[in-house]
Amino acid sequence: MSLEFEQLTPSIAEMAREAGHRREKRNDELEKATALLHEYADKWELIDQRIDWAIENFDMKFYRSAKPLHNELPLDKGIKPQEPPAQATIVATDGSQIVPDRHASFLYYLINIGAITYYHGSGRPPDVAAFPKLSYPGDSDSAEDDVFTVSSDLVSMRRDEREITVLADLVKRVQGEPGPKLGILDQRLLYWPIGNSARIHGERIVFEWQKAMSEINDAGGWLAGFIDRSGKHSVLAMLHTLDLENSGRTIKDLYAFDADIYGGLSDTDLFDVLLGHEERSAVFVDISLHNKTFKLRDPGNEVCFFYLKTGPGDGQLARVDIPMWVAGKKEALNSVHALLVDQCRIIGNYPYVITRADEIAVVGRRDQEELENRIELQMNSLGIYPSITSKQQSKEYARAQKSRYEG
Amino acid sequence: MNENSLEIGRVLRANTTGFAVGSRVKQLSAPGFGSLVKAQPAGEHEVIYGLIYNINIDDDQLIRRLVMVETPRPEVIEDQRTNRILPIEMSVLAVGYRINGNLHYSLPPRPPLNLDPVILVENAAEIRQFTNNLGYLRLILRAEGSRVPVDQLLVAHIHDVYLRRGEDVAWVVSVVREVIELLRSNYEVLIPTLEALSSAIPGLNMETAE
Repeated sequence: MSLEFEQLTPSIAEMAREAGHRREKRNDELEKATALLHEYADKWELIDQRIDWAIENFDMKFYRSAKPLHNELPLDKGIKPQEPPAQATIVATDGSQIVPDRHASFLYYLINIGAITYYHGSGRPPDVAAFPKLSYPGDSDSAEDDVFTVSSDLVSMRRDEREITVLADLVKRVQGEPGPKLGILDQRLLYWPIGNSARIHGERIVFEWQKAMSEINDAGGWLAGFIDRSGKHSVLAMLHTLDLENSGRTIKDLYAFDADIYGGLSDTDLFDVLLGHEERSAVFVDISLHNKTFKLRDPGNEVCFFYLKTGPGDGQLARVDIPMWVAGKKEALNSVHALLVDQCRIIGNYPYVITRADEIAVVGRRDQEELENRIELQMNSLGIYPSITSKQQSKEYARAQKSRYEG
Repeated sequence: MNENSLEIGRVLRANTTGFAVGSRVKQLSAPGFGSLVKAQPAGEHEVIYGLIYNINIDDDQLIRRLVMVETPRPEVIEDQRTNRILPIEMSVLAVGYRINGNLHYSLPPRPPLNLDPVILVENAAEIRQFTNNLGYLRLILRAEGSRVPVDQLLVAHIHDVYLRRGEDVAWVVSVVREVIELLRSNYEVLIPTLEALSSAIPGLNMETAE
């Protein structure tokens, strides 16, 4: 049965009206935030004082903000990329997964990591590789059986863990290549597992994440997390903290996690109007309790970030997370900026290596069907003939493609 | 497979009248429009012969993005061509088959199966053996009105075999006679075919052929 669009017409009209109101509010907030950034752009002492005061006096369980790292160039100015190193080795990984389906014939999940090693400046074609891993009840790595019954978020967390551990392994493997080695993930470095499974398994996975970060550092590599159109509002929180006395807002307003207190704005909206094509913002240290735990475990792993305008148009803005061991070294920071810009130039506005890693990782519907056929054949050869549930069967009837007799 | 066998890809899909072959970029250097190929299931005594009548190179979103860049980098082009799984698709018109060593110039009893290897026929003796009997030309002409560019396919195929048979003008003359016979009531195909053949094959005397 198709959707009853008539019933939805009033909601669609209301949705459009609401979007109009929000856009007006957002524009007002953007104007205010831009003015604040200009006002505090180089008031380093004041910024340090007030953010340090906030860290001491606010409840850090709820307060997330940012603080400039270098206190050099004004915060409202874009920084142009320098020339990238003549040679560098860039490794990127990305992951995808097939989550367990208790209505399907067999319980399993699959994590596939796609990886690319790009030899910048050498003219060599990149190396690509995929690292698929099948897990099933009873296999040696699947001690937590709940993953097969309740939890797709645990599979996602394990995928994230594999993304960075494979990345660390590959960065170690290319140590002999000329020039710096840069590992890139297409997600935040300040890893924060979410979902029901995070309570039980999150701590171990964050531990493994931090360990992989340290391993990349120990191998002499650099690391960056590239986040397209990030929703983070840490810089906005910083500006509102600086202006707390004048704004009439309370500390509790800044504890709120939803972006509505900033009129739906995020940091990317702010820097989208300030940065020119290929420019980056100043580097900020992420101020949060979570980052404090990263720093406690390994001071080099404290996460910093900058914003990068990846394309000439509006909205083409990414956040780049870098660990302190990269952010603290000017040469490394400038090279990461330049190499990311160079990568974006290949296809216009997004790093080529991330595009390719994603493409290698993706497990399409056809691949999934082929995998399940092979599992079924192997099971049948052992005399195992399970059936799919009635619910799954009915879904397959409803979603099956129609075919036509063509003679 | 003999020493002259060159695998150019594998069967993607098939029916009785032909099959589509998926190839990698590196497999594209030898086969061409009009080449004689064969689908040869391993260990089977059944071989299906066909002529390549179309080579299709698909794009995708990433290729479209790269095309928009002023000068794509050589390493990126190489990455696209060697590492990405974008098959080149060749369409093949079935023109005969061999069962237990006997050649037949008609449609095969069964199409090849998915993933059967497809081989470019380069062995001179095999080419001679298959093309000595011109019965397969009827299957090419039968495709008139379909997506197969019959006149161009005939010319490309005849030229290719002429070279592979050691510039065998006598064979071309016999082919032209057969084509004239088969197309005597279809001047729209016959005339451009003969014109193209006379310019493609030096030394071919059409008057002798006629």
